[in-house]
Amino acid sequence: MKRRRFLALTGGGLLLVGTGGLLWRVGSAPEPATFGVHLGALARDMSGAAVIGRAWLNANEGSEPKRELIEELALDPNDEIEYDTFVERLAQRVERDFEAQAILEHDGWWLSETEARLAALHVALLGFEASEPAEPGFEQSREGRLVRVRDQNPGSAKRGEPLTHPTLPDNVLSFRTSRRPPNRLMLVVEGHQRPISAGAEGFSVTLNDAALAAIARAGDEVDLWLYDPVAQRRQMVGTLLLEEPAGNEDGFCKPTDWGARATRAGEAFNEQPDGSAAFWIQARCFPEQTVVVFDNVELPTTLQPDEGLITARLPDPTLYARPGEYRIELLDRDSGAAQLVGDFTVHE
Amino acid sequence: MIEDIRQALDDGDTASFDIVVAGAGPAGMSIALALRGSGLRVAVLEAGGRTHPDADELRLYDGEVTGLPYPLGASRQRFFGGTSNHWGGWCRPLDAIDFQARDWIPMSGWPIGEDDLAEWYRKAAEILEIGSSDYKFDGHAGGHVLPARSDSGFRNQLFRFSPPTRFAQRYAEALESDPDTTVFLHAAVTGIEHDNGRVRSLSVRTLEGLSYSIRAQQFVLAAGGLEVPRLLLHTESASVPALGNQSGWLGRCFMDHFGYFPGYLMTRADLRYHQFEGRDGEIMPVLAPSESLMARERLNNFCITLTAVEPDSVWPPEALATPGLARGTDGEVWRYRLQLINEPRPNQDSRLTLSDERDELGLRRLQLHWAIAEPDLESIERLLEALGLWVGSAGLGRLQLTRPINPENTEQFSGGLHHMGTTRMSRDPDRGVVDPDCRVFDTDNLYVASSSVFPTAGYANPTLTIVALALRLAEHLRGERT
Repeated sequence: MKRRRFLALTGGGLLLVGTGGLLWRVGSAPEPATFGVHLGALARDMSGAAVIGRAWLNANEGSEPKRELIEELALDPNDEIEYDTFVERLAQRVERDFEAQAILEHDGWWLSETEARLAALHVALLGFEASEPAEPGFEQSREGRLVRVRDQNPGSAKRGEPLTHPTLPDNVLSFRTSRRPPNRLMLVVEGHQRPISAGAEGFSVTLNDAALAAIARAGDEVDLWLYDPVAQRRQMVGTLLLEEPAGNEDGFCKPTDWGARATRAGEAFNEQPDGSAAFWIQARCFPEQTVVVFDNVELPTTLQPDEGLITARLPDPTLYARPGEYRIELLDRDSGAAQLVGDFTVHE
Repeated sequence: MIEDIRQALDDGDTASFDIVVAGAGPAGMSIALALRGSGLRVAVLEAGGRTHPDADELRLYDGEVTGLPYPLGASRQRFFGGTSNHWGGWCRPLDAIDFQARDWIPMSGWPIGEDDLAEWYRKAAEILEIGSSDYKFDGHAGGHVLPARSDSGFRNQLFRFSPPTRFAQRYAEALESDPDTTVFLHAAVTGIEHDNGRVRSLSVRTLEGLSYSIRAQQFVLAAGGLEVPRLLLHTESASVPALGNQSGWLGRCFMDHFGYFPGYLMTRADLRYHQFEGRDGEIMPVLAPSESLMARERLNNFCITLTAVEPDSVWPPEALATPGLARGTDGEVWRYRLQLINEPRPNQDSRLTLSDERDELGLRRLQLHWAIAEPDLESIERLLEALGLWVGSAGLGRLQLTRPINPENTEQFSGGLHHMGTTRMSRDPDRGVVDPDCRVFDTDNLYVASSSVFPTAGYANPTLTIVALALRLAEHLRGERT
């Protein structure tokens, strides 16, 4: 750290948000122009640079970012140059900043002084208000086409059970598309965003427990959205039809949700009036003689079949006194059949 | 055969074998597997049973922790198969530099080298059911990794994955059916009987109070990186140091790969520093410093994983995508969470000792003082600085350090639960506990098969190296017989 020449900007509360657009990689002046014209065009077209630009201007009162940039890049502002040459010069300067450790540090970001000045020029040109971006997010994004979807697998699922398809691992949704989608896209399902794994002919998504639990609680049909957080665009790419489960041959439906999932050693969780800790488990069906088993210990269990709810108390705090992973299962005391719920974590 | 010692032997019985292995985890079971067909009668002593122990049995691992917080009981599996019952399957050999003496890391350097283990790494890969032993990073992730040129200071490395092999399920039948192998369950070793540098027998007790004596010609301690030094420390008497502690190193230099999340990296949008199915099995690329950077900046070894996360609003991807700011990214950038897996330096002050309190088997409980040395933290700072300057100067992206190192904030660091270093391997009895054959110094016939023999730790998860060393030791034991 000692060698770095940091310009630390400490303007707190600068958590404005950046936004993008499909034009964020274009916005260039293709014709030869003076250096000053190129610089202005580039700074004007920047997206998401407002926070850094405003911080720079606040910390450097009287700063003239355009003049400083021209001096830094050592060019005559009136010389005409190709746009690509201008960009090349800028890139070299930015990279040289890092080699020379001419770095600005802000909210943890290590940025080149040159790019910070460029952000400042962006704000100076557009004004403090104009450069303030809108709040981004899935809900605010515009609908539009991101990919052309050819097919989707699976198209349906049994409620509360893993997503299955003969050609896919469990809980994976796969989409075939006409071209490779960018990796930054997210699949949004019932409010849960999941990263996609893109390939030449489409993409797949592994659903996590939270997304699966949300699907299990949904109506008969779940909309599947693709979201581009950079372009702020979304597209509905399919639906998942939900079928009601019949329960397995032992009479258990797979639990759709459960809690608590973790505690600290010795610390009661979901504390009950008597001071004991407690689990809750949602499952659409289970045998009449079901008990919850925690780390091979049967727990006092209450069944509410109409609600699809099972609760169990852990009156003995020594059960969760030691760090580790502990298995939770449902046991049918009549048949001895068991249904896995999940692993409970006791942290140190 | 696999037997419950409580049924196989009568209280007070003595049983004799050629070789006794204390511990039926990946190390102990690998030795037993490798000795099949040798004509040697082998006993494997497993302290637990076939299934997860109950709370009473786990209390045997209680101990006292000073220094950095450390969950002594976590990750220890006191039943047949040991830690293979829950490991994640991450595999990678140690790097060449990990074996070398590095003048910037005191007490570094193994007495054996990469070449000495190469054959055993290949055999270990078979035991651990890894598809390939090729760890060269050779286009495995296509273009989906950072282009770490030779002068960049960084390189891409590869982890491979065991299924993960659960030794109890995978190899129980092989040991059960071997006529020369006996696995005793519920057989906790509580003492090492020895005289004149020769171990005569191991004392075994059960929680019910039954006791046995198991005699052999050769003995291997393979009970994990905490129990092995614990058993050795118990051999100390008023007049004689503990076995292997002739120079005071037994229990010292406790090491664990400690994790640290320093912040984020904004870089190319299509990176795949995560586990995926490669052309020859599951792989995971990681980013690591080059040997030249380690030497120049006097760094420990590290690896870095990157996980895609939401951008922040201060410097979002579209800002960096401005033409000219990051020309090495093709304009599509994304934000990744950085996770460091750090090599700790051997540190004498990080050590295991015995407390005065005894457990239900009569063994003194462990006392761990876990410490991370200040140079380890300084090394992290230099690594991150090099990373930030590299990605910036190469037009590859930007570093965001949101969690600067604070030595006072111990919650910043988490252990990987890899217990290493407390029975260091050395060529010199004044600088270690075991020799290059893993034989405890000043003994004829007592060996250690455990990550506790690692003099330095690298960043790779230890199981592959543990099994490689165990197989090498098995070969040595066969040779000793002839």
